[in-house]
Amino acid sequence: MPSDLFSQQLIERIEKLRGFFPLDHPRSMVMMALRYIQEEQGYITPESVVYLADYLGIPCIHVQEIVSFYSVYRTEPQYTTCVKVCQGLPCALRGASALSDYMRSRIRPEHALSLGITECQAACTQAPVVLVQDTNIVPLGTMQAVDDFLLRFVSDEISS
Amino acid sequence: MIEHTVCLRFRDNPALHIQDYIQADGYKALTSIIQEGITPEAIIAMVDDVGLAGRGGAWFGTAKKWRFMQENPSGRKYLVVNSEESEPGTCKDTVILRTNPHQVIEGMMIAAYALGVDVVYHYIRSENKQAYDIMEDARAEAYAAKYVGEHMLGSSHTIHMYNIHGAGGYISGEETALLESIEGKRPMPRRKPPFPGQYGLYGCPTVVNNTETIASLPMIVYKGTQWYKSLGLHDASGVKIFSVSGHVAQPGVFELPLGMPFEEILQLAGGMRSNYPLKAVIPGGSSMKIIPAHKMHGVTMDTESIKAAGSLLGTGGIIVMDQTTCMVRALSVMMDFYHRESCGQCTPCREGSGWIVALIERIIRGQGRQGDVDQLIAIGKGIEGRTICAFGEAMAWPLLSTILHFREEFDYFVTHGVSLMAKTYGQDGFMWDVV
Repeated sequence: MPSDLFSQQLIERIEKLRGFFPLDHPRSMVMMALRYIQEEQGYITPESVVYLADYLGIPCIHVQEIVSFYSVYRTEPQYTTCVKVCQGLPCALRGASALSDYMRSRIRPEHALSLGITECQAACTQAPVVLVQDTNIVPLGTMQAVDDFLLRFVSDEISS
Repeated sequence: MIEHTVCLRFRDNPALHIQDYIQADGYKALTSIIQEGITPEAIIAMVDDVGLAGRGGAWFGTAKKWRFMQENPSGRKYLVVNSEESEPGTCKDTVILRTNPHQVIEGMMIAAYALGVDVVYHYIRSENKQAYDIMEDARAEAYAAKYVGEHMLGSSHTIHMYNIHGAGGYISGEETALLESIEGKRPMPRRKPPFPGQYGLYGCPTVVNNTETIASLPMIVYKGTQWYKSLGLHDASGVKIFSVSGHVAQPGVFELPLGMPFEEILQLAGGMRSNYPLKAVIPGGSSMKIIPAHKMHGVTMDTESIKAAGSLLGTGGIIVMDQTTCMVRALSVMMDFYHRESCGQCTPCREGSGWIVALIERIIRGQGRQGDVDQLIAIGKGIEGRTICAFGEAMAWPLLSTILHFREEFDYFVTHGVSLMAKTYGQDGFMWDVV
């Protein structure tokens, strides 16, 4: 049933997962259901954890232990775009550390970016790379590439 | 040069849609199996004949793994395909998924048929959303065209296939951790035995295969075992995808004959990127032992030759380092990774990884003490063989081999407080190619 917490669309996506797994294993739905919740709501609240657990008929801990372990889930709202520099050895060997330093020196408040780190992104032949919003991999091999990349994050209002 | 023949044949013109794939004789292998009634045992015999071995890095015989599951009494069984590609230096499965999704699906159906399995789970890495989306589209097309699902190809066979989008964590790629993850738990590896072939997903017999292994099946069936075997050089059978990264001029992903000389692969990647010669190679992802340059001379890229050189072929993720590379810093980068990604289940791995990182950081800060390097070796030996999964070895092998082959650099750093390479070359090999 839709509620204040879960929209009709969200419920439909979660319901679709039921067909994926044996009916006596609703826990298998948690990982992807949480992803759907985050896609719709931006992050996972304690209320969503409880609601999802109740909805699936499982203890809250079976949802919370997933939220607290896997790296993709956010438990706080995100006000900035997250850019993570890959820390894998192939990226390191091609200057990931220098890339981080340069980016940090160029990021301004108006970019609304936060800089973090991530593990090897399986993009080793494009090194060094950054991961944007946990989904897009962007190779940044030169200072010019970083400058061009940052331009994308200046809103029209500010740049004009 | 033989390149892009089995898994990456649509590299330059991705066969994202089912028509593209069918036009290139896609799904013909599956169709012939179903329509001609080729027996599951005949397929397993083909896989055995070509000597196909786990391309995820363990190189365990695929047919052996399949037969092991078949020994169990009938009942519910599963096939799980592992696309949680996270081993540093490895970027092959992602290329397969992004250029050739239907071949992966056809491979899954062939394997599921051979194994008598009616449900296949395909686990795709969290950050690889592009591959997940591509696989979801391909899945919908394959269902609509009746290559997957109930009464596939009008037969009495029903095989379902589901893409599962992971949620992040290197350890999720360990096969039993992957099963835990599908069950909706934290990805903590299980004790073995029992192996997944006996007690796998939901306690049922399960085969877990790597994406590249699965994607190899359609061409093996369609073109025949003799053809596949003949692709390898010398005594090796078939092909392998190698990703070459690090200090090479043109890093790249290449599908090449097993048994190809390392020097030729290095040339394919444009040779070394600067005038500095080769110093060391990690042949198959950062969990494999490092090989110093002088031992790479004359090595061919197959399991036997790499073993003779002191390492293992692993995932085929070749990381190349030139003469300027500070091996203390390289080890630091690798160990930071294992420390952050340890699942925390086993004490030697959880605590030991932290001790290793703290010691190396101290050395790099210039505050290393006499005895630190021996202490690192002792910790590494204390972890190796004392953890539930192979993560312990994945951390200990690069640690112990790097110190073994480049001990003088560690001792120099401890004694002088600076990198020998930085002192010699004015840089330590971690330069950004700023143009």
